[in-house]
Amino acid sequence: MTSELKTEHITINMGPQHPSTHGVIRFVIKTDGEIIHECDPDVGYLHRGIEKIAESVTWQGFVPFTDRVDYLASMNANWAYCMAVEEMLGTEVPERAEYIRVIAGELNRISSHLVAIGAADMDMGAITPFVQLLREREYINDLLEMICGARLTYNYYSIGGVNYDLPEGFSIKVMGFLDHFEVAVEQMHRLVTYNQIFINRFANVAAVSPEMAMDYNFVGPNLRGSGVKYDVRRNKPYSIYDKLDFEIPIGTASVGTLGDCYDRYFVRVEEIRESVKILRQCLQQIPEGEIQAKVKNAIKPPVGHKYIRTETPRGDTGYFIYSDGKTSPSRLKIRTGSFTGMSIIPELARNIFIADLVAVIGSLDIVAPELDR
Amino acid sequence: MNTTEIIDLIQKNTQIEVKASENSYDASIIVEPKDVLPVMKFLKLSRDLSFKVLSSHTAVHDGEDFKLFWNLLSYEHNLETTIESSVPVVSPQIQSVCKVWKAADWLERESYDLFGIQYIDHPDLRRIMLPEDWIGFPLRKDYQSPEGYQDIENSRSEIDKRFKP
Repeated sequence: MTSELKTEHITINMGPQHPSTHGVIRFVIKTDGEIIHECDPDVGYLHRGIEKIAESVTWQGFVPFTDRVDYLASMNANWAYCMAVEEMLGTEVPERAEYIRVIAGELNRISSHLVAIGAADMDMGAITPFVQLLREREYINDLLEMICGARLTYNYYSIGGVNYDLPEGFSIKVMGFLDHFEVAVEQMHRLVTYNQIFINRFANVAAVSPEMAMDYNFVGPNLRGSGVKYDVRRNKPYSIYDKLDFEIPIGTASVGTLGDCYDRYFVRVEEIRESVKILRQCLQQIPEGEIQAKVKNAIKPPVGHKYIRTETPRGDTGYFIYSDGKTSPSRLKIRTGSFTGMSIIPELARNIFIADLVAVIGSLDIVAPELDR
Repeated sequence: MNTTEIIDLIQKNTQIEVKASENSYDASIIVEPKDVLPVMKFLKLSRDLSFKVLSSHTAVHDGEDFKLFWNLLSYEHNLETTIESSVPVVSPQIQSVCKVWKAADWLERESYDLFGIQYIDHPDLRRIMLPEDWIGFPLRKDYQSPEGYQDIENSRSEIDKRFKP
């Protein structure tokens, strides 16, 4: 009887306006009941041609566009681009500016991770943690508004330094926030991290081995979740990171398999704590002085190509710049963690439940504008 | 390990002529298009180098040629290098490196989409960012933006610099 029954795969469409695809991404899924047989991500809905725009604006004029590449961590996106141009020009950034950059960047890293964790929780059906974490993010937005006036797309870093100095009383406010925030992180642990329902949804789902992670060019927390101890801040230090004391958390398979969704999630939580540590050190050590190096109005970097990587919340963001000695780049390629992270989905989604695909996307922390650029 | 040492290793083990590029910030290794695949295979499998990560791959439209760049990383030895090659704009064909790194799949699809570079032996070479029926390759320097796409007109905004409300 059963051998006569014919089964066929049903093709269903998930997205582009699906609440749990984190932006406008579409998945074409061939399913066998609840189990995914084949998954083909269709990206490009947010392709705005930022790389083409770069060829027609000046070097300084491109900084606001980098905000739009990754709106959850614009500070870090600014930083990556500004650092690439500084390296090309050979500009020395003043020490105070470097400290301010680290402070702003790490605050933004925390706020980005909070959204990543909160959104992953919400995809699993837990609304409360998302609201709680977004409340913490609001405090960070207030702090970042204090230093640059914007709450989402900051345009704060400039080539050679930062645009404004820290306002009066800023470090006291940040210190106050950190004291409060450390308690909030503990609360979050009680609410989510050690929650058995959450562990059951995340542990042992879509494990990525270290070899696979490197083959697919995983970066940042996703790579470290698979147990590869690599962080650009530590392995190729830039700015003042070599003076700071912090740990690189990696996945340990504490409740499941190495490199599963839970490991990726847990690395982010631990990274938040390390960022708090970095912030405390910076606020104590920050020197007085200039915040902007002297940079000519019309920048014309010499002919050549440069590839610079920085550690943003979504892993190392690479800026490949090809200059032909004119006032705008001849070619600018932004290599982002979401793009290469996404390319693993067809392989990872095979033979898992549709509900688990949502967990995978949530744990990879994919941001659609960064994916499509 | 610097670029000269990497070049020596490549030449000693694969007998392929490669040379260092000049005039750039990052030292890079220039490889002939036909030798790209064997050189990449060696770079990944060599124990002294083990470039297991393809960090980035892109093309640059430079006059008559497309310059192609591969940025490789080795977490094991904390190394970084850039491989450079060039193909003519009239027949932009190069061997795909998908078999070496899986990350190359989407990176090559992207540069096919935006530059029109044909990757030989790529498993699934189709557009990734733009719609499948898009005409032309936007990141080429001689690209003209279309007058419209399907029913959407691509006319300039009526508000220009002289506009006064």
